[in-house]
Amino acid sequence: MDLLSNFLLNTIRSGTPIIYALIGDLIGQRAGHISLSVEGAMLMGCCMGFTTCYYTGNLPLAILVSMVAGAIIGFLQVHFNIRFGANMFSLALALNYFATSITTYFGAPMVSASIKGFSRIAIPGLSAIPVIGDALFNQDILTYFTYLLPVIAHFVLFKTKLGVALRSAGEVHQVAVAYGYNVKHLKYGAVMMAGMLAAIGGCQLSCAYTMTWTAEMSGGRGFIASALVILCSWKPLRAYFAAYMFGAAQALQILFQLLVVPIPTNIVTMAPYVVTIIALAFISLNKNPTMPEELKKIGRPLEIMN
Amino acid sequence: MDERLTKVRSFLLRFLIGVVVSFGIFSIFLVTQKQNPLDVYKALVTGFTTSKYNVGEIWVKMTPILIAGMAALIPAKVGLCNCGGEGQLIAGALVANITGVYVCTDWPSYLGIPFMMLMAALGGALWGAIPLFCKMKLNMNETLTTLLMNYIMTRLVAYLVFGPIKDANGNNYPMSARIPEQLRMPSFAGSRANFTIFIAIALAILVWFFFNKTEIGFKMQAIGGNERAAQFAGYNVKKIQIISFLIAAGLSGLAGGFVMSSVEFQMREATASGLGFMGFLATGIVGDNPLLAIPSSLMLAALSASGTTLELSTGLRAAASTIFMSIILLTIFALGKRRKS
Repeated sequence: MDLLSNFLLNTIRSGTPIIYALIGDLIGQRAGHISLSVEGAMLMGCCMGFTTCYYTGNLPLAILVSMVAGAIIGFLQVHFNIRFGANMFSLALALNYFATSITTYFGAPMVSASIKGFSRIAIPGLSAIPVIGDALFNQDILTYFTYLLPVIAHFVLFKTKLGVALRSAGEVHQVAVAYGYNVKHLKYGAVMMAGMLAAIGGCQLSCAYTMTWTAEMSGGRGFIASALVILCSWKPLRAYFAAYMFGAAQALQILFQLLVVPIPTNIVTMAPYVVTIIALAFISLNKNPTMPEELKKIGRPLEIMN
Repeated sequence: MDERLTKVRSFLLRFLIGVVVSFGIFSIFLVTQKQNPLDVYKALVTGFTTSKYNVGEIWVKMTPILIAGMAALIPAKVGLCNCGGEGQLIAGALVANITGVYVCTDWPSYLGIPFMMLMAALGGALWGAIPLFCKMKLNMNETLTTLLMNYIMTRLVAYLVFGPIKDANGNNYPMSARIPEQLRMPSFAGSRANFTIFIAIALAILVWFFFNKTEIGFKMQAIGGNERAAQFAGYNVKKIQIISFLIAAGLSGLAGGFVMSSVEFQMREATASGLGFMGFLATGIVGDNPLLAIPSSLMLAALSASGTTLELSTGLRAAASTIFMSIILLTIFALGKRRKS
């Protein structure tokens, strides 16, 4: 039983950064922009959060600083894309490269540092539930927030005027204009939001989950989150399922170690990526996709886009 | 023709402005790091002018970057996005190493090296075939699958060098055995540079010639422009895309084979990593023009080769040169054509 509870705990913990990046990119994609740069934003969040935490020990400040760093990546992504017509994917990879180099350089002194990051807060009563109690209700504050995040995103996207306008920015501009919104501002906001949320996920990763900083520690989680957005069919509530599926694949590694399963670690760590690809294969068989209209145009030349 | 010339000229201008602006931004960074920018740039230049070896390192890096760039460019011309050059290149290096160490150990050079390169190309193509299958049969987004495949390849290499292909005489270090002497490509005196750089440059020119001067190449580009229109015009879009993608992935693998046979000789966890991504960026910033990819990959190669020099002569961490590189990349993107808003 202890083993199962441990597996659940690790599933939740590794799923948490994914939920942030996933919801972030989902909002961006709803507005018509794929931000593969959430990978870079997450890495910035990891590094900036950890560094702030190390020097000041101020946790809210750590979240704030990583949010700003993520927002900068998001801003560059959307600004270069809209204003300069840069290819979304090349640009995102360049931004990831930028984030990797910046964080490798400035994070170098932090590599073997230790911090007192976000501590786990047990919710009285609930955390005593056998098996799931410790996994679900004895977590850090950033993890608790992810329990709400998809619901909030769902509410905003589907129940508010802002949400309708945002979604229409990725489908039919005219609706957003009719509601009195500036399409450009909506897109900037959405993509910057994507960077910000991914960076909070990164902050959780370095300051609550691993409590260490290593270069390139995001390890493709941002790309996975981007892929999982498709798996969610652009519906925020499905983020729980998608992210914890990834989390479970990640948690296998620790489970196998505890059970002394004779599969090499490096094979087990392939699981999250393989599972994501297989899951995408299944969803691609769905003949009724809900892909935002504007995303379908990506890759076609700009003349057609206008 | 005139129009194209203006295009190239305006690009070169932007390229130059980009580099100059980047120097400015990087200088500010250097000042914040308590370095005199002039000293750093001087150290860079002397690093390259005083040492044949350092200059050789540029060509060593440029070969795989340029070839991997073609591997991103060719699919882009026919409407596909191959972000998996990284994994395909490593696959090629890995297969070349295994072939060299276990298969053609006693083969003479003139048989062994071509066979190794062939296997490397096949290895790359095979690794690329997986996301290609996902795209063609399951209609999955190839950008994401190729990206994820890179991470799987990294794990696969780690698994192999820690286990099955670990050198039995390697003091238990996680690295494979070295390929035999006669399968290594000869290098120019005083450096690690070798003739593969000429192959890479010739390849870029060939790709340019194919897409701009031959009828079939010219027609193929129509697919990248508008897939449906090409379909109506009677092209077998899928077939062209499949062949192009496999050739591209094979080229990435070949680049990996070159790296293995001419520089690395053995597989480690990080062998050949980063080169595929750089290739993708080298063509990304020049708007998928094969000829302009030559200077852009030269620039990226020079910058990445300068990392060690910079660290040795100024004490700046090697990552500083990658910061410089990413600043240049972003500036060139920022100087792209402005769209009316």
